[in-house]
Amino acid sequence: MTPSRPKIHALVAVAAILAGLLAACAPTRPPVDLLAAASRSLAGARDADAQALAPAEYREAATRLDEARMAEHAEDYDAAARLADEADAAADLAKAKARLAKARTAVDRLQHDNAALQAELGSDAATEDQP
Amino acid sequence: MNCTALRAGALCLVLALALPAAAAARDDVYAPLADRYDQLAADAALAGRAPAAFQRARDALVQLKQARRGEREHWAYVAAHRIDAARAAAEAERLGEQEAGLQRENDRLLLAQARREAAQARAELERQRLQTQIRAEEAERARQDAEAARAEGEQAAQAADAARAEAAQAKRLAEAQAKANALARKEAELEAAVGGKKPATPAKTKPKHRNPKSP
Repeated sequence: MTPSRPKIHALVAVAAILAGLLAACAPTRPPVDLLAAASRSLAGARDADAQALAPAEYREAATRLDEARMAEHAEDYDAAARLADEADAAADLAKAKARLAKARTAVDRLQHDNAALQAELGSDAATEDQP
Repeated sequence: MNCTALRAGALCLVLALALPAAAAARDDVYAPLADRYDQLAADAALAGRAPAAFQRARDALVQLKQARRGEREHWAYVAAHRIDAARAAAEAERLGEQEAGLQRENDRLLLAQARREAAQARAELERQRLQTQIRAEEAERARQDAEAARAEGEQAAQAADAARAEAAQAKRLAEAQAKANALARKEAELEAAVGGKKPATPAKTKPKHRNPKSP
């Protein structure tokens, strides 16, 4: 009952396809690009003062990036890729929130300044109008 | 044959039960995030802003929709963060435009303030110039008054000097007259002594000039 040659060929083909699928599913190399992108995003968030203006989001991004590096070190490249991607998203959010906080502060300051100037100009005009 | 049919039926039943459950689980994760994104995209104040961030959020939602069960949590995390980041970026862009408008208003107000201060400074300068002019005119009048007073005082002093000189002259004249009278009296006495006559009272010589101011 030795298997026929066509059956052997079919088994080899199936094994090759399975191996290919497995290889496609799990990264076999460190996710260098994703880690670099996440690292750049975190640096961008830092430059936008996210540490002070969006501290929770910044800490979360930094933690994810640390975890991604640890996973890479442990050669768990799939987890490393996911964590790096999440770190990138969290860092983008931290940067966006920091910029939003800055814009809000600038708008508040200008509104306050303009109101003071308006009041000053108004009071000057009232003073000038007085006999 | 019957056994095979039963197995196939059971498999179909399991699949029929499992597939909707999996779809429902997927919808439980995907649908709220998709709604969140749709609300953001429908916001008239934010739609059209931060297009790159919106595109990243859409890409993450597509990935979440297509994700296998093991990756669903990851893509849900990414999609949620991308949507929040898109909202924050769009808000920041909107505030940036508001800031630009406020900055223009601030520039206009500062210009108005500077013009008003310049006008006030000019008015103050004019006021001080007028005050200086008034003070100068008053000083000139005072100087002229002082000059007139000084001239008047000088004239008075000259008159006083002249009066003093006239008085001295009159005094000298009176003294000379008295001396002449004494000499005449003495001369008469001598003549009387020489002639044995009783000396006559010497006639008083009239002074040539009588000074009314002299004592």
